[in-house]
Amino acid sequence: MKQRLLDALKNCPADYAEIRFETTDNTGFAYRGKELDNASTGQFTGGIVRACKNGGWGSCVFDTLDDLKSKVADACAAAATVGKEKTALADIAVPADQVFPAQLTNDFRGVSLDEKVALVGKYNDIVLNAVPGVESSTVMYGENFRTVHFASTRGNYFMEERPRILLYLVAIARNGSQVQRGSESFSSATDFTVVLNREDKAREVAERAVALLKAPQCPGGRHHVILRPDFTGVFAHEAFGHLSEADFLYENPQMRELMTIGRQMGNDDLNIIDDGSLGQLIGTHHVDDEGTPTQKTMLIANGVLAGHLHSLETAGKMGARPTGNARAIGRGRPPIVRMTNTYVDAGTLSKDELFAGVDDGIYACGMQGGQTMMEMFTFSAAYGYRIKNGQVTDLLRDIVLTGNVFETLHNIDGIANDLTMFELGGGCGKGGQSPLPVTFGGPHIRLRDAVIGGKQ
Amino acid sequence: MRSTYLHDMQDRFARVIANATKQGASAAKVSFSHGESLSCSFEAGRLKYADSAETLGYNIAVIRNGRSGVAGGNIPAAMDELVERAISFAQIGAVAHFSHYPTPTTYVDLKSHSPRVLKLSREKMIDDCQEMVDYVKSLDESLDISASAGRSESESAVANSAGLNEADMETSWDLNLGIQKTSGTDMLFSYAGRGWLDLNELYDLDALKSEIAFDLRHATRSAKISDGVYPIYLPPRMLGSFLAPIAMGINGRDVFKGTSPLKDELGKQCFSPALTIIDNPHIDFSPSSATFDGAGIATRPMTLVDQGVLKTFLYDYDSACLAQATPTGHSGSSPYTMFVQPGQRSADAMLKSIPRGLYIKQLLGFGQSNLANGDFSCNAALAYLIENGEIVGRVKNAMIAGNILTLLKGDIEFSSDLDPQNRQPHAIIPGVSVVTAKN
Repeated sequence: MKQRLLDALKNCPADYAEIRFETTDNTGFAYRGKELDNASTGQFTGGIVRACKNGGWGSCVFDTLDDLKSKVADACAAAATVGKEKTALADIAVPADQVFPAQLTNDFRGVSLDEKVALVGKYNDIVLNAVPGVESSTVMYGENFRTVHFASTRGNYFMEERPRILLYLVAIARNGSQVQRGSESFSSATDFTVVLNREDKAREVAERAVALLKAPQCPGGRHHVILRPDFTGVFAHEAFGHLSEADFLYENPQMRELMTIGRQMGNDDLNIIDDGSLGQLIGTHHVDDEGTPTQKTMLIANGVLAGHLHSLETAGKMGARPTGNARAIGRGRPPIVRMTNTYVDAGTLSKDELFAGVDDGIYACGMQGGQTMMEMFTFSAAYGYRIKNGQVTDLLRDIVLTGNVFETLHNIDGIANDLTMFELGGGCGKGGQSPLPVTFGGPHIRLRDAVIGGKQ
Repeated sequence: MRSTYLHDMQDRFARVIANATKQGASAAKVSFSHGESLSCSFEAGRLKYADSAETLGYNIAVIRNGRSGVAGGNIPAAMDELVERAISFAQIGAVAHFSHYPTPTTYVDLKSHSPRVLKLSREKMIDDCQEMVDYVKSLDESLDISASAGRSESESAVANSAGLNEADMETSWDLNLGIQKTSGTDMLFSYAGRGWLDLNELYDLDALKSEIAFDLRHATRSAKISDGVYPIYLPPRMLGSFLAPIAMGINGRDVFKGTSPLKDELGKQCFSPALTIIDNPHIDFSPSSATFDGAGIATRPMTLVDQGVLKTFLYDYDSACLAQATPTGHSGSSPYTMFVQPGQRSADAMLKSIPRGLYIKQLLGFGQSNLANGDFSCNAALAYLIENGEIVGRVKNAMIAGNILTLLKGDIEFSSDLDPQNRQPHAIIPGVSVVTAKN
């Protein structure tokens, strides 16, 4: 494969060109209610040629390696019609040939489909029958094995295998026109055992869905809020992580000024990090989709803006080093600047000390989702609780926080010492590429005067 | 198209279906699509990308011993191998509630392919994007401007063991314009976009330019609103989001499984008499039109809500067999396009009648809500304060919340004039909770 890709790039007239070719093999099935409701499998191949000439980009998306030279020529011709300036892509020193096979602790490909279906069926039975009031369920298993081949006119080649497995447990409870869900998800890039022994979680989602039918909506208004570590991770990702992606900054002078390294973003104990080289998490790779090695990047260090996330182009144009954050969701999609494993680093307070500082507030738990428009963000908790005199009390539903990142980060007035990373289902969406595997993490944190939507 | 596969597919399809049947499948289906596209994108006010793509995909579905197996791929030569995989998958696959596809019928003739679209060259698209960029730049030099245009042509075919054998060609274009205005930590994002299958009057640069200019004009001033309950005024592009709980609630499969809040509401006055919704998949050159669903059931226009009364649930073939209902020709038991029927007053007259409310142009986080229950709670990302019928300025850092299924029972109103692109009216929905950050 290496030689085939490099041969196709020979005599390429562009300033830079690359070919990424992928194969994917995926299988998934889901129970909805009592029955296995859908099951599908697929095998796909495909790729993209990207070429840069005089700062302009051309690309050609394809399914097969047939006539690859003409696809390179198409991309180069397109780039030539676009570019009118100097190409400025950062240099990176990488080995000419890198091969990264998957490092699977327990290989899901060695487990029979029958066993997987039986396992998921068992969880589904628990979700449906654990407590009265559950009307239906969605219990889903998915697995994907992606193999990425990459070569560029810089002479480098890599192959990386990127597997992922997923389990979703969802209980749906209904009382008349009131419908509530309890959900949990689990994911891993290495270990099939992540989907084993989840009977307690299956029971928990059922109990929560039924309990949420009776739970009041979180009152709207401004509240002191403690974020559970999984929710802290979403906060780090949505409220700040996207803003640090340099493709939002590099050609926008006002945004570059706003996000100048050294700007005070929060209190001294706030540290936010993106680390694509962390362990073997679902957001971890050896190299990004431009061949840059992944790394740990401090985004906020001691409350001060410390770094941005870069591709070759954003780094080249901002005079920075590429950080290994150019990622594509799959075959046929161009790499864009994305997060990997993003987290708020641990603080010094114990969880109890954090809660003791709240007389009346909200404890927000579980990731429902989040969205950002740069300075503004929202993120939704799956559920939460009222905090009274430092104690967790009544269950609440519909907790959606919003804020302006430049104000909200300053409102973090307590960070606990219980940093936890989460590998969940779903992923990040940007530029029409979703869901990209990422992880979130953090400790419990306390936010003052967070805005929550709803009736007051 | 530079290359076509359709001529080759008839034989392949017949072979796949025969192979599946020989291996014990009571039903088999193959669907195939192949497309080519061209596009260009401007970023930061200048041409940045020129892209082309050719992609192909197919799906094989079999039913064997009451279970279905589905396998997908994109290499035609591997189609026979994928049949084996689908058959094998059917051993553990999803429960099928039918054993044979229905006999195909005759289908309405819908237009979906326009040679005019193919005349849209990359050079023309680049010139048009440049014109829009230059116009917006003339309004404000400091804006970060993006624009894009694209066109595509595709061929598709489907065949099944009941004798369905249909092929189709489709064209499409899209045109988009967006800006980001950054002043200190204050940001404004505004987007406009259009797309259709025929190159007609909807391909209108001025329409996109004026939408961006509208936001630049009104967002310059800031306005404040106190916490409380207000009417919201929705442009046609936003109305579809507020219909999502109905689309989810009339899914016949969910109704059967008991997870729809509308389960017990069929034939009842669920909403305001002002609300009539028609699902119409028979509009020529509409991206959401279809002549038949995934099982070959013919589609037809259907009234979903008539003056507030819920008229029907939607069923694909499998769901209809499961629920012992009549199939409605809706793949996934979901509507194609929900057209809200127009009201009496113009959108402008409706706006002028609002003493105090919010004009909602964009929402942030709407999809994270429990929409299946009708609940929403999200940031009004781009919203204007309406006072005495006039837009007085942009409201920031406000959360709006409510239950859509309840709000649509209220004193809602729809405009008499419809958006030329999505054919939806403007709407007023009273009773929405608003909470703002301290200013």
